[in-house]
Amino acid sequence: MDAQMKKGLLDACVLHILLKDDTYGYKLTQEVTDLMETSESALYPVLRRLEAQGNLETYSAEHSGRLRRYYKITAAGISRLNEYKNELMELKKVIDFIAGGDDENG
Amino acid sequence: MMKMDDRIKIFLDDLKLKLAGLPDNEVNEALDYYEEYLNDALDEGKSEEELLSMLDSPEKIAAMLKADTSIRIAQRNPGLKNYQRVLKYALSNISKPFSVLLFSIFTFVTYSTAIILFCGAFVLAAAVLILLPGSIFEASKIPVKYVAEIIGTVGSGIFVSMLCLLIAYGLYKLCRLFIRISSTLVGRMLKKHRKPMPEIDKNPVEKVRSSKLFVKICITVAAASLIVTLATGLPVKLFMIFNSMEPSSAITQTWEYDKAALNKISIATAHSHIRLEKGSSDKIKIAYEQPDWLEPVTNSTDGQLTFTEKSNGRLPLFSLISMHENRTDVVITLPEGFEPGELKLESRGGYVYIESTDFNVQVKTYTGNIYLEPANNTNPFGLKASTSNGTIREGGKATGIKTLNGLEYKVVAQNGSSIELETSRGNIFID
Repeated sequence: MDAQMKKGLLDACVLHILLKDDTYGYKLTQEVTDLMETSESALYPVLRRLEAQGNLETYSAEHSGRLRRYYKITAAGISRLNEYKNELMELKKVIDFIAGGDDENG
Repeated sequence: MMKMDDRIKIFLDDLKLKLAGLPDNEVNEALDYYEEYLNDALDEGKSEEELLSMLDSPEKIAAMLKADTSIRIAQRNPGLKNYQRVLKYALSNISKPFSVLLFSIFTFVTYSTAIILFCGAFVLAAAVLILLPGSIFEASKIPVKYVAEIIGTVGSGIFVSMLCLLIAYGLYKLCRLFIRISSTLVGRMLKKHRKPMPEIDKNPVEKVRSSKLFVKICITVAAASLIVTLATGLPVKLFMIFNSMEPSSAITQTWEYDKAALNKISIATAHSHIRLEKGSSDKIKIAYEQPDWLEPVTNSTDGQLTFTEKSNGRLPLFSLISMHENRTDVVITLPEGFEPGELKLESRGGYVYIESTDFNVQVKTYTGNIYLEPANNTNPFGLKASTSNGTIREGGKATGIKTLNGLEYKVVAQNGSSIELETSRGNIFID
């Protein structure tokens, strides 16, 4: 996927995953990399930024003898996700139009 | 739980080293994250080899984190130092030579602009340290009986100081805004060079409460001092002088002298005009229109008359004001046939009008013009006129010879009479 296209998608993905359940860095990375090709180490800046913007918050919980940091979506994060969704729905219209164009002509 | 592999430890140590320069809490957060991440990955059963090949190198992670974090910090707190970090860390994310060149130009332009704005604010704020004591010093020179002028001088000093502070504050804010926008631009530029793109903080919050109070105090003090200053009438008076308007209250004083009693006459004014006339009576007359910020000093001993116009100390910065002309006159009327041994007329800011060429006279001005207007006079007279920076016109036409010291114009008379006109910045008109 084009680097420019991934803009915002990464944020939206992270927020969407967190909407389902709180999760931790490694698992989050796996879910995102399953969806789109991105570097394994790339998610940290995204998380850090989303946290700074107040879209998510963190808490620590013990897991097999060590502390693990969990990420949790905030109310601001939910509304940000909805904004992304609206933007993507617009994009979807365009995609449908481009992809559907061949069918109509054919 | 797995024991940490040595290579992973090296990876983390290396990352820590490469992150040096970021605030401690940012470094620790990042290290915690990657440590936890690696532990989780190992728990999932991944091999160290697999793990390390999946992750970017510590250099790359650090470069990315530094750029992102420094931009975030600069947006929160847009100071010069933080912006310096933004530029430094962003550069390590750019590799194409042409992009590096473009970015260098961007760095130079934005960083120097920010510095200029900052210096401007600093200089203005520092100017207050001169303006405020300066106005108090000026006020201290005014005689105590002129209370309104003293208050007005201090008041205007406070007003200008507050104005400087407000402008300095505005420049400072502009500098910060500029840095924030530039940091955001750097973020945008980085997006094109790598993935993932740093998303810019859309609504960075800045603490404004204390600075708002500062602006409020400045505006209040400025307004109060402006009102007080205007009430003293000093600004109006200064405005009138600077625009050479006629003073509203000028009292005419006259002195008369016997022509036999005087041999030398010397008249010097600060900024009143001087007129030399020929009279019909036998007396030497001096008529002086006195504005309320000037006073005449006359002294006649041993056949020598000196008339000096000087400040009565009422107006601040008098030496600056005295370069402006005044709309008041000193008129010297000399009787026909009077031949003084010496006749000197000097004015700093005012004009000098010579309305009779019957007398040998030496005239000197600094900024004022000199007018030589012989009224129906057919007697030939010698003339030497010179000006450093002005022009000389005779009957409306430019004349004079250029010399090292400016312009010079000479007429030699057979009878030995002489009029000497000299001015540094004024013009000389001969009709």
